[in-house]
Amino acid sequence: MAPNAAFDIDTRNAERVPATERWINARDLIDRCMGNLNLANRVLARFRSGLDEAVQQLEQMVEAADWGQACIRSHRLRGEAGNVGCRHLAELASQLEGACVRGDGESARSSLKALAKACGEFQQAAPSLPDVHAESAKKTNAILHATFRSRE
Amino acid sequence: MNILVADDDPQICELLDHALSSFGYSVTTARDGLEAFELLRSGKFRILLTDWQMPGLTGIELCELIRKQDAGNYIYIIVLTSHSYLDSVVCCLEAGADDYLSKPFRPAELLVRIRAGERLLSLESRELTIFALAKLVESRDDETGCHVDRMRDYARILAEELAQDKDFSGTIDGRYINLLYLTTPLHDIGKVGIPDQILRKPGKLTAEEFAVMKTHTTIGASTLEAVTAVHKNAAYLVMAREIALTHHERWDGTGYPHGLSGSSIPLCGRITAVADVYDALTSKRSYKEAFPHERAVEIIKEGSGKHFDPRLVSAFLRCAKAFESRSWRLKEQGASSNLLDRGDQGQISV
Repeated sequence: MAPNAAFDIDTRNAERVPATERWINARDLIDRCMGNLNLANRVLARFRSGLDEAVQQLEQMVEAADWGQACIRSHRLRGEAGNVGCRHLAELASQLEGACVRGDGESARSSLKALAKACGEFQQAAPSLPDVHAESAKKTNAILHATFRSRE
Repeated sequence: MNILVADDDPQICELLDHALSSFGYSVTTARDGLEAFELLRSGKFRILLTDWQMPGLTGIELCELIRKQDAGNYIYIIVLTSHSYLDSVVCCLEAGADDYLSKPFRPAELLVRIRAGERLLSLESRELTIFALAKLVESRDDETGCHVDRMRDYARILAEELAQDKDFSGTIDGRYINLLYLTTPLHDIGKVGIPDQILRKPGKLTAEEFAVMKTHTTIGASTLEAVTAVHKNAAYLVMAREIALTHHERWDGTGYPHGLSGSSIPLCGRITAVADVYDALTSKRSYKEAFPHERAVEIIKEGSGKHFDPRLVSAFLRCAKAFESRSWRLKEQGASSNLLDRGDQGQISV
């Protein structure tokens, strides 16, 4: 599996960063939420609550060799994971999507296995955003205020 | 500005809604392409942010449908896509999208792309507004049907020819030509201040009436000057003001309203004068038939150094065929009829 550059950095520095940083690029998520921590947590919680079902659906689709539906669902999961800053999951979903597009059963099953494993680990590792992310939110807000001030 | 967001993913809808609202936009969301298309029919939305893959209608199908309908105001379309391949981008643009935004989006990038769309829409509004004003003036005069349509085409043809001339190439560039094309239709905007009994009088005007008619140049200039003073971002109207004020000035100083001569007459006014006179000559008036193109060319040639800047006449002679073909094309489109620019009365030697 080709490593995702951004995620790879987190993996190499795993001992020096909080566990959640290995899975979520919090700064990315909070920036996308314009510094609104409540929104970030809500979006993340929604993503987590739908993740297991998404994996189950994908397993059924791949087993049935329903490549069309599997392609659509994996594409959507890729987008959802990207939105919440879960680049690793987004990358894995992207690999599954590619296999489904090609109709490559062996590759799809292998990608799905890796995705399911990573999703399980993510669910265990990702609680709601800790304080370090609140600090990120403050920084984001400061940048936004500076941006708007410069336009005035 | 109202923005419509079309995406079947509630998560992305919420994120986009929040980001765009934070930037001061009013946001409405649609959960599929069909709902989006129905909402667009309200005419409330000028910018659409749409997902690529949606149930009902895909983003691409939605783009194609909007462009096929081509009704009402232009809708600026940005396709949201996690397909970052070049083929996908080309596919979006071919379907009628104006731009695309990769997912996951970044708010700063979202904002600049929305602003790019707003700039394009404001340009469209500006052009439409100017042309609508010009047509409004035209509508008061029974005999000037589609005069402004032809005028701006003639002005552009002549300016493009002049741009090849070393005397003018430093002044006339693409931007100048676009501005001239945009603002030439306002040359007679001052006619809104001319009483109907003079503007619509059949036959020749008396000396007193003609004196009133001549004030359309100063009325137009004052109006445009007032607008420019209040709205600093309407700097493009500076050229419109110069055209309105000076398009009846003559190279030899015998024109009006100020009797300017030679290069003291702004170039845009000199260009518009040639375009205006050519159109008046080749159009039917209450007291004359439309002159053939060849006769109009001769009259303009005779006016070189008197009515017109000699260098502009030389340029006109080089592109006269383009004037003729444009004239025929527009007149065949129904623009032909009786034409009368009373501002020319007594000015054209016919």
